Formats: sequence, C-alpha cells, structure tokens
Amino acid sequence: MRRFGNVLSGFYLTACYVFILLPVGVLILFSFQDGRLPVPPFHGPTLSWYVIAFTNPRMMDGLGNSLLVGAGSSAISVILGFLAAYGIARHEFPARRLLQGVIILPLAVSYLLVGMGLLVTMSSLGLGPSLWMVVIGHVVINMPLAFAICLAQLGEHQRKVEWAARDLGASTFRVLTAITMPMIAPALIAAFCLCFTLSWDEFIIAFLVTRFDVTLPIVIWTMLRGGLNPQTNAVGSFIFMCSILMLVAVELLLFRKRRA
Amino acid sequence: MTTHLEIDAISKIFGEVTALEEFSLRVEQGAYVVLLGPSGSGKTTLLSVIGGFTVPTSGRVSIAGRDVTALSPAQRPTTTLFQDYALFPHMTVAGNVGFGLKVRHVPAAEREKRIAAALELVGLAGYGRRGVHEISGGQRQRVALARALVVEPEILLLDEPLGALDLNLRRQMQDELLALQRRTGRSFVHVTHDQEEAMALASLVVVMNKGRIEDRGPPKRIYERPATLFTATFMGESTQIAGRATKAGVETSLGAVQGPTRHPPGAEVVLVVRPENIRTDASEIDLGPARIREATFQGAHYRILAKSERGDQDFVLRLPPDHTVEQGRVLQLSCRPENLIILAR
Repeated sequence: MRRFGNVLSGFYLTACYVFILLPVGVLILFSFQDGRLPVPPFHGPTLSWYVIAFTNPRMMDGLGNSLLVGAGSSAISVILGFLAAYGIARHEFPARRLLQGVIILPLAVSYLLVGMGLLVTMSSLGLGPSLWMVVIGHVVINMPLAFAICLAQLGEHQRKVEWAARDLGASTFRVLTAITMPMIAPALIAAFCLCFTLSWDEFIIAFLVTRFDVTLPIVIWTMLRGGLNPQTNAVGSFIFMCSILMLVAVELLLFRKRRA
Repeated sequence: MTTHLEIDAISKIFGEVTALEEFSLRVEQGAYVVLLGPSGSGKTTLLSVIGGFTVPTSGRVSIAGRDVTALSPAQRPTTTLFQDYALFPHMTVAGNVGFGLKVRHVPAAEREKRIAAALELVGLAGYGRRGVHEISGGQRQRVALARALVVEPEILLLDEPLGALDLNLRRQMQDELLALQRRTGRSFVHVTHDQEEAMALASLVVVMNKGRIEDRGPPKRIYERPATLFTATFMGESTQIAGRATKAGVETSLGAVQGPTRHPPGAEVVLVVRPENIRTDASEIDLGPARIREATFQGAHYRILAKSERGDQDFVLRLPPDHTVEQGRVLQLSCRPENLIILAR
C-alpha cells in the first residue's frame, strides 16, 4: 500500500514537472529546428537561427534596451525600496502603518493601469514615449517588492547590530553602507534579481510607453505578428537561459555566504 | 576618587508607564556598578539612557564632568556589551574589533596593533582572521568585549551579558570581567537580575524597583543590612517575622524581642534573618521550637524549611551536612541580635 502511494506521488510529481517544463522544452527544442517553421516534426539540429537572431540589429537593439531598462530600474527599485524599508523599520512616527500600506499598494495595481496612468501623465506633461518611461514604470511596479523583501530582513537582531555600530561611533551613512547593507546583502541581491527578471519580460507597460526604442518583449511580439519563426524560439531560449544563469549565480552567492 | 558618571533626576515615561522616576546616582571613577532588579524595574532603560539610545523625558547625564544628555550614542564616551553580542556577521573577528577604530580614522598600522592587543586582553590572540560564525558563544562574548574596550571608552555598559552562557562559563566570565575591569581601570555599569552575579562582581550594587532606587551600597552591606524589605527579599533567601515595634523592642507572634529599634512604637515592622544566621545553639534571641517540614541536601549544607511550634511562622535555615536532619524533628531555633534586621513593612 505504501509502495503504491510512493509510485502514485512520484507519478504526480513527474506530471507536474512535465506540465510546467514541457512548453519551455518545446520552445528550446525547436529553436534548433532546421527548417522555416518551429513545429513538429523536428529536423536538425542547427544553430543557424541563433546566428540569425544575434545578427538581427532590431533584436540586438531590443536586447540592449532590455538590459539597460532591467538593470537601471532594478537598481533604482532596490535602492529606493531599501531606504524606504530602513526608514519604516527604524523610526517611529505617526501614520507609519499607513505609509507602509501606501508603499506596498502598487503591487495590487494591474500593470495595465500603471501603464495607462503613466501614459496619461506623460502626455499631460508633454513628454514623448521613451525608455526612461519604461524605467519609471518598472520602478513603480518593482519597488514595493524590493521594499517588502528588505523590510522582512530588518528585524530586531539587525537593529541591535546597528546599535552596536552607532555605539562605536558610526554615523547613519556609515551604519547603512558598512553594516546594514552588507549584512542583508543576500536579500538585496535577491531583490535585484527578482526585479530584473520581472522587468526583463514585462510587456504591457513597455508596449504602452515606447515607440521607436523598444525592449526585447516588444521586438518578439512584433515578429510573432508576422508568423511563427524559429528565430523567436532562439531568442526566447536565450532569455530563459539568462534567467536560469542568474538564478544559479544567486544560489552560488548565497550558498558561499552561508558557509562563510 | 572623583565623580565619573552623574545621573541627575532622570525620568523616562513611555506613554502611561513610568520606567524611571527622578532617578539620581553618582558613580566614581573605576567603579564596578551593578544595577540589580526584577524585569520592569527600569534597569535596562537606565542603561539605555546612559548609552544614549533612549532619550530621557527629563533629567541630566554627565560623564567625566561633561553633560552628554543631548549627545547621540556615537558621540558619547561609552560603549555597550549587548546581551546577544550584536557582532557584525559579515566581518571577521578582527574586522569587528577594529570597526570602532576605523570610524575614528585610526591609521591601519596602529589599528592592527590595537586590535591584536585587545584580542590578547580577552584571551583570543590569533583569532583575528576567523569569521564570527566559526567561534563559540563564549568566544563571541569576548570578541564583543574586545570590540567595546578597544576604543577606550570612559564607561563600559554591560546589558545582561552573561544571561546566555551556561553556569560554568558564566562563573569564568565573571572572574574575567572583574580582572579586566581592574586591569583597565575603567568604570563598568552592568545590568542583571541575578543577585549572585551582582554580589560576585559589584563594588557598588544599586537595587532597583519600579524605576526607583531601593538601596545602594557595597554588596556585603546590601546583603547583610538591606535598607528595605524589597531589597531583603530580592537579595537572597530569608525568614521574615511580622511584628510591631514597642518601646523596648519588637513584639511578635513568637514572643518579644528586646533591643533598640529606629521605628516608632506601634509601627508595623518585619524581622528579617538570613538562613545561615538562624542557629540551633541557644543564642541570645530565642525563636522557639520549630518542626522540620523539608530538608534538601545541597552539597555544602542542608537547606531546611521548618514551621514554628508556637504559631503560623515559617523558617528557612541551613544546617551543616554532618547534622542529622529528618522530617518531623523539632529544632530549638535562635539567632544573634547583630544578625537581626528590622525593617518597616
């Protein structure tokens, strides 16, 4: 009976993983397709679609823009989120809970609303569409996340450690840079990576507030409108690999930190 | 000896709770002060006020003749040994110890020298390159101590530093703290709720209760002649006999006790006797017969709980281990007048 249960749960687990990973597997498999359509039967393998994708100037511009927007918006989100979390965690003031709620609020607002709001504000200020707007939009949606991750790390023990640093003569700036940030560095890096992956494949806001300089998801969407093409598979696989590599890097970093 | 730390009428009110009430204390250079009291007595708040972490509602704190009330912890000539050590987890032992020197812009070469000397002082020479997660709890405590002492504070504040250690290590650290304090000549202010720790360490014990001083003085005096009933009960075990002051002495349910008191006739008083001062050799003051209710062997002595044959009065006393003690046996109890403490109820 128990063995049967084990077999059953093993089967269930496998089914789950297949369900989650099969689409990605298919995507990657047909990026090596030797033919014009990324559909079965599989011919190949060939790397020619990767060569085409990486020599496609529109694709590469999109990639560059996505990296810029991702890195920029994530860095700003983490810095703002961390400072806000520090302020909320370390100071008593009226309406503290309320302020915390307001900071978290954008998490509950849909990307569409954020994008539309940004679009309306932009046009009323007479600003044109640009990558800067995407950065702002992504900070709006990612900062609450970075804030929440940082806030969870700034507990009583960390407060005591900060006290000790102050007690030894450190200024607030020194405490932040030499003690608090290094102490919660794993959380800061994790927050950055999370913000980056969310920004990296965000479509709606990027679509609404850009025109000529666009991010990678917009490029892929434009290409998909012209029909299926193994080149988009190749780019999709590349995006996936990047995310995986980043995760592995974070794992290694955190693991080394824990052992030290 | 000059006044080194002066606490002048400090009050601290948290909302509806008064943590400290018009608290004043003078401490001399090189003293080992222990603030002793139950939780909620305000002792930790007082330490925090001295360290600058808590801003008092009113009053003044001066250290070495300088008013520091308005100064931040960073600007005060105090450092703190925290209860859970609060070491910097991302730094090595040397990094921890050297932090205070680094923020004071001490040049690297001199810093190295002083870190090594501080580690040597606490018995951790050669541990500088280790991470703080690679050392034991007792060693972490020493690192915290070295970190606090290396910047040469006027006053070291210790916030229940031995609470997390086991008994043997605690005794050992007590000896080391005392030795360190003598060697460095600095003033230590130490908070604890453990009366044994207070007696082992202090040159001055300050017994606190409800934000006020109950008693202050050398540990021997506090133990032998406590000023208040609270102090008497908090500083170790005792037998307490209720009575009423008369012109000639004190009238109790066990009989009259002759002798001068400073209490006016008719005042409600309590006679307090420490367990080791209750005798069975028919000393001057007769406490009457008492029957043993319970006897526990504690190595160096028996601890005896007895009940008076004359009334509803309990005694706690000690008998040497060679005594025959058994439940139900009746002892003739007495004590000497100099060991009798008479306190207002």
